[in-house]
Amino acid sequence: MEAKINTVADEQRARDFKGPNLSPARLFDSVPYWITIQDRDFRIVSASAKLIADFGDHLGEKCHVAYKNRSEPCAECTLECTFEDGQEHTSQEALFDAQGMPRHVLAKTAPVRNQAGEIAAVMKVYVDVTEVRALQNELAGLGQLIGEIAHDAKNILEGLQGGVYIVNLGFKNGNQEDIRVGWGMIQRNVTRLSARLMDMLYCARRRSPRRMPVFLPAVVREAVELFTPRARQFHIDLQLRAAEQVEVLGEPEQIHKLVSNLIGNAIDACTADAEKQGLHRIVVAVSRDELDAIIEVEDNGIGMDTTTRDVLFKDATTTKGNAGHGLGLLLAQKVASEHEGEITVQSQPGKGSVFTVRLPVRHPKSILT
Amino acid sequence: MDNNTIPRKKVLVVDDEKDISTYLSRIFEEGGFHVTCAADGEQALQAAERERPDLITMDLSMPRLSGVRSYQALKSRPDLATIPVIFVTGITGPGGPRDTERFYSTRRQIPPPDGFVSKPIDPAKVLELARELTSSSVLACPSPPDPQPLGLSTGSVPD
Repeated sequence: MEAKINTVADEQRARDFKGPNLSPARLFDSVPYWITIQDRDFRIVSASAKLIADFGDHLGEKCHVAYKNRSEPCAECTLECTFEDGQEHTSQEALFDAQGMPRHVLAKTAPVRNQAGEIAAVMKVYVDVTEVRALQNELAGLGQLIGEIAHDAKNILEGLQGGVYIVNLGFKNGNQEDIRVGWGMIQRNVTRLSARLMDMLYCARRRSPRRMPVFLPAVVREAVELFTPRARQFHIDLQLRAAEQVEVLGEPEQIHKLVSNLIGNAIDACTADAEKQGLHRIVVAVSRDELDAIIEVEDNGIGMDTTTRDVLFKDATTTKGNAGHGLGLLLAQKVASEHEGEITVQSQPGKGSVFTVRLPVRHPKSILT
Repeated sequence: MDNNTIPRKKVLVVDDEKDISTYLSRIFEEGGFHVTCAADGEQALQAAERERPDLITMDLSMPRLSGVRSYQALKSRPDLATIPVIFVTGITGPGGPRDTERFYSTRRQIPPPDGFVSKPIDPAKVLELARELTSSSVLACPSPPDPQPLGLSTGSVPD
């Protein structure tokens, strides 16, 4: 269906219409979606107000550079397709907003024709599906979690049954050693079971985190220590810098998981980086300013562009010993926002990334009893 | 030869979960076997070479494919391939034991094991199966004479 553009008639209609001034430009800027108008060189000719507000002003830049940190156009660029065939094309993509955070989108391109009927530009409309993606990831993560817990539970049961069997042998034969060994197995597996149940309860719990004082340096140190063996295994220098007393209000387990997730991602970013093998370093720093407690996780790994984002957003990076319950970056964002904080990231492909978590610092007045 | 000099049958228990390893070991010891343990595929191969066990048990809970690789490695060694192997499996497939058997039988490179033991482990069933598999190896070849260092190569392999 070809739309005939007759600007004289448009203007007449605009004049006749009694009501607020609804020029096309104003309409364009009112649309609650992100829209770019781009030329054949991928350059952004125009953008909706919402896009500029959320992604920054990138007029004149190429879209893959501005929104994806890519030096090359994406494979199967829908813009190119539409320029070639004049048809609409749909895609699923990930863009990085003005804070450097990933936003998942459904995008659709359409040709914009001039009065001669030639394709002068292509319009691309993006719908934010980040929340939906987050929920999908969460579900997938939960599914995997349940699988891991079930598998663990089997082993725990085996351990308990084995302990019982061996204790009974001990009673039968009057063998103290058997009683000791068997009882140890039972105790150990009871502890494991207890920990698993706590994990399950934690995951089942919904919003409104508890507000208790959390001493950040200690929580962050625990997370760092958890990953130290793994970092060493990959010859990554994992450092902690936490000199100050920094306290926030929230849930220590959630913050622990958030930091663990970021460290795990940093390790993945380093192991994915073939160039600097043996020279990788991750620095976890805890500090504060006037308003916020700040946790920074900096790595000199592969850095982020669209390709590596898939490594980071892969949910549940299972690490043996860490109860295997990793959160994706999207869920880490959820933890941060539940603590009224935020995560931002700076990244350069090939150079590395810095994830900065800001959480409101605990003020003496805000003690809730 | 009287009963007292018949050497105990040897079992190699391969499992990376220490408690399961201990459990199986005590079951076999109570059943009169001599037990060696290995916690991974590499240790399993080394122990199999060293001990020449009469039976090997391997834990092959489905998610853990390294167990399968160790098994393949074992079966690819002609001197070790004849040792009977029991899979100890936590059945996770929806069909139960049939599923597991089908899983292994469809993989052509993996010869099926000589027996399955499903979790939760039933000590009596384990011993019954173990005795069955190790007594048939006696019929196939004579058990080695009393282990005395009389210049007999300890590497002699039952055929």
